[in-house]
Amino acid sequence: MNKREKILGDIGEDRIDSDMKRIFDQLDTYQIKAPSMEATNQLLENLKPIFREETAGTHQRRRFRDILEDTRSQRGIPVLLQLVGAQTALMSKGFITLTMALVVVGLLLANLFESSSSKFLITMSPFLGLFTLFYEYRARLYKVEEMEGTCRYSPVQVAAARLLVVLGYNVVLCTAATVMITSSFALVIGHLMMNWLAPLLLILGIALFTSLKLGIAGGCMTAGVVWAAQITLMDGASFLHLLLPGLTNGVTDAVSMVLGIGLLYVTLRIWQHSERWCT
Amino acid sequence: MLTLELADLSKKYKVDSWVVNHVSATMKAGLFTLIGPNGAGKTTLLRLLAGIVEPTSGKVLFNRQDIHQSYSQYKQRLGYMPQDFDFYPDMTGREFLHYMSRLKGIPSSLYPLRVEEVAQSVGVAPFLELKIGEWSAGRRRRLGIAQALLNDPDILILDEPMAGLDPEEKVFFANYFFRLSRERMVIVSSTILTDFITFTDGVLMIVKGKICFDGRIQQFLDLVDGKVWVAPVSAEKRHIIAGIWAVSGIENLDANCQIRIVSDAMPDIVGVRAAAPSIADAYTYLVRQNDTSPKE
Repeated sequence: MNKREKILGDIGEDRIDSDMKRIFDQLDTYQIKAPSMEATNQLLENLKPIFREETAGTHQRRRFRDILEDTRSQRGIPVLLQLVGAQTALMSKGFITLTMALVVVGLLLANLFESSSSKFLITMSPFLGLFTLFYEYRARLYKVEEMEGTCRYSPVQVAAARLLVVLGYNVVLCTAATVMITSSFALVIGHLMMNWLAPLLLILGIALFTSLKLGIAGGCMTAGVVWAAQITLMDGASFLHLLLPGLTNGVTDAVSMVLGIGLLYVTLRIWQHSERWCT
Repeated sequence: MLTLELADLSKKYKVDSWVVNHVSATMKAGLFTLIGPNGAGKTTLLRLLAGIVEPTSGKVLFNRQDIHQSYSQYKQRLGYMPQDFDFYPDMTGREFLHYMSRLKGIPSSLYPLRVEEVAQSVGVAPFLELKIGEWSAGRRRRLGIAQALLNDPDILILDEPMAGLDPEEKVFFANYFFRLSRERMVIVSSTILTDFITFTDGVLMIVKGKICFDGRIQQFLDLVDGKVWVAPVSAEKRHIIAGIWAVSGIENLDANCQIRIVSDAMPDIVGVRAAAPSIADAYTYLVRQNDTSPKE
């Protein structure tokens, strides 16, 4: 390839038209001598400040990485708490306002028409839990999951932190609602809280466990259908009564809680074995 | 020195469908461009490099260590932007970058300033207070690049970073990636061949899951030196010619057109002449050579 063809290649042209030929001919008339050593040294002197500027920028950027490394070697807040803090950021003010409004309006309406606020709370708490679960685990839906997956923490750490946020938020909200509708503190702790906490844990467990196969939307949907079927078909009683007839409500609630916690634990264990977000 | 080695790396999703097929290559600090036709395996290869998916066989070695043996350490030095991504639309840009900083383990004493710095560098700082749901596609892509840079990574993997950007933005980012690559490894995939021509230190081309080129841009061009031809043809004939030869470009000239052909032998067309090779010529040549062989 001759010199002219090489220049053409560099500038993305493939043929020499008349204008181009004139330019090439004109360029051929210039005879430039190779630069002297002095001129080369002068050029290097002129370039040094620019290189220094570039190098300074480089050091500044590297320093951030170094600082980051230093902070990682220090003992600080446990990883799970750091993550819970981060995952709390996923709950928007809009979501919190909406769920609080749902609870308050629902309790008022239930009290107004049925005079059974506690029944409403027991029925609603698993749905509220599923709604929060879906909202907190919406990363795949919004295609954020892969970016999150290459961050520092493992999927199981993130999932556990999200679960704590979901449970924490629902327990706080339902406890507040319980306090609103009861006058006796002993009743709050001993009876009503147990009534909504047990199905909440069981339904969250079913949702997360089935989400391993069906995705978070499918998991929440399945658990929602299970809960809706139970309150429709069982007239307030648990499906567990079909399997274990003769149990008191208190024992059924305890079994539900254990089952729910067990399912959550198994799900987290399965996540732990899968270090990646995708297969 | 940073090195990322792909050691006989393979990935298949179905029993007999190799998406990445026994790929071996070594990359050092610099800017590397991964090119190839749609469905060639570029995204899967980048996901393997990012550790998002595990290989069916083979290894990815970072500084001679298998990334899956110390994945959490590897992730601390990694920045990754997938091809297909989005954001929580109800978050503002700043909230999202703060959230990602915390996920990357950057302490609260450092990330507010870091977010500001990175947002400035990719040009999204003026929009940080707006909900991401209101952002344009180009700005979202910039935000995707920003989140990948938060932890000041040694390895930056960007899948189609130029998609959705306007020409001015593409020039800006080509320069920006080049600057970043002076002190780290930047691996970008692209289907738009002109994006990184001037800037790239190495080109990896993948066709049907196999690396068919691994080298510098000049070596890429040299592949087709003396094999590029241009010929004037009528508009009706160009389809016939495209069925016979590997056509790398067509330029319309009034009623006729000028067609670029990549061929070892000079095509038997009236008026044909040799031309200087371009990136598109080399790309077409390699696709034609490798796409005809059956997939293993």
